[in-house]
Amino acid sequence: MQMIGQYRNLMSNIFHIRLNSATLPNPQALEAVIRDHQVNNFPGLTATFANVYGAIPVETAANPGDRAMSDMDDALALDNLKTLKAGDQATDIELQSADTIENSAGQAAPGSAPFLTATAISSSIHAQALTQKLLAAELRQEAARIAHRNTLRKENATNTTELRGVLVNLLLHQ
Amino acid sequence: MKRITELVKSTKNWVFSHKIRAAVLALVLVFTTPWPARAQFGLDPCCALLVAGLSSIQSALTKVVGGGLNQILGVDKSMQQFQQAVVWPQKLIDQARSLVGLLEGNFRQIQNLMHIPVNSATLPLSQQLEQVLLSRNPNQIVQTSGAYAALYGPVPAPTAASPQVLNMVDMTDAAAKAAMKRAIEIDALADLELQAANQLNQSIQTAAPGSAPIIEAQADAWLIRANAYTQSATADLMRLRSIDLANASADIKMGATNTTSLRQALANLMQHQ
Repeated sequence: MQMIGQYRNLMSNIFHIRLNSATLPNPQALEAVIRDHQVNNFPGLTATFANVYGAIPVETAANPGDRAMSDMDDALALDNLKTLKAGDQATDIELQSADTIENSAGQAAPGSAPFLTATAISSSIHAQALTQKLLAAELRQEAARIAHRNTLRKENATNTTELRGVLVNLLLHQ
Repeated sequence: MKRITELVKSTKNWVFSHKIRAAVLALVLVFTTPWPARAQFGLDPCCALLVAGLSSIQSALTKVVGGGLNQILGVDKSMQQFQQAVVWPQKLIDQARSLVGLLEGNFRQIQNLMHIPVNSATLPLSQQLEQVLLSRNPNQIVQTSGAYAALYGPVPAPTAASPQVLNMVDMTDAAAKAAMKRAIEIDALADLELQAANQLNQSIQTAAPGSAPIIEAQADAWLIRANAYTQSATADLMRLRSIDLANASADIKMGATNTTSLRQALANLMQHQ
């Protein structure tokens, strides 16, 4: 009980310090949505994301490969922002669970403590699963990022080869 | 009969002639003759002595042994009360069990949050890859390479780039695809961990107080397993970033080589003019 008094409010206050930092309307709106811990406003997230980062170019404005890649980048960014909103809410629930277990531990008897310990471990497994979900999302995102760069490298190689061929032809025709 | 009469006469004569011996013999016979046994209702003075002895034994048993036994019984009862009131209080055990039920609601909420659809792609190729990546289904891992190549393109033909560039491109694609496959694996493993955690919760709610530590040990084993999977995913993330860093370095190296080659080519061109 002493530890509850000593740490709980202190840590909660630190954890709930507002981190929002955007200064312009569109980024402010996006920042508000991505930090609100809610999962019922995904369409709003997609709209505010498009307001800041723009929409996928129309068919006539970019080649299909670039459009697809851009769509994939945006999709994975949005997927992860949605996952993070869900993760934030899940984190809030985990903290509630931790408080509940700690409150019960303060009144527990030696014979009832193993029930609380087992429940706490079960909560830890849930927390690990959530961490893994977030890690999986980060893996997807990082993989897409280096895949995007790699595609540019492939295009550069192809373009360089084509340019070399054009130059050779040009020199041959002179 | 005649013989008996003669025996009586001879005995009578012996007694008169040995009066002292006969008297001693008579006394010996009186004292050594077996007495008939008496029942408990007899009014024999011996019975009173027996009762007194038995009372004494009973008194000793009641006061000395019985007192000790009563003390042992008292300690035993105190221990039992202590066990019931302090170590295994039914009320607190029931409270702990109900807490598990309460937290089960939280766990279900977390599980639902993790299964909210987050798909966001809008074009066919990106939708196809996204669907595979978010499937949480290990059976779809084999489709990753095809969907990846459809979106990000294959490795260029050997004539289209230098071997060094081709190696870099292939290595980078491999790392990206492996990371995507690992992401599907980790999602699936996390789902199974959640299932196992739910099963453990069910077991906790129905466990006897003495068997709860056994479930606790099993839950610990699952936690260790979960930690191992988390570390594995972290390792894949680090691999991906290592490849990315190595690519950045290779770009600098190739840039330097290309600049030197270009300078040489320009110098040759100037010399030939």
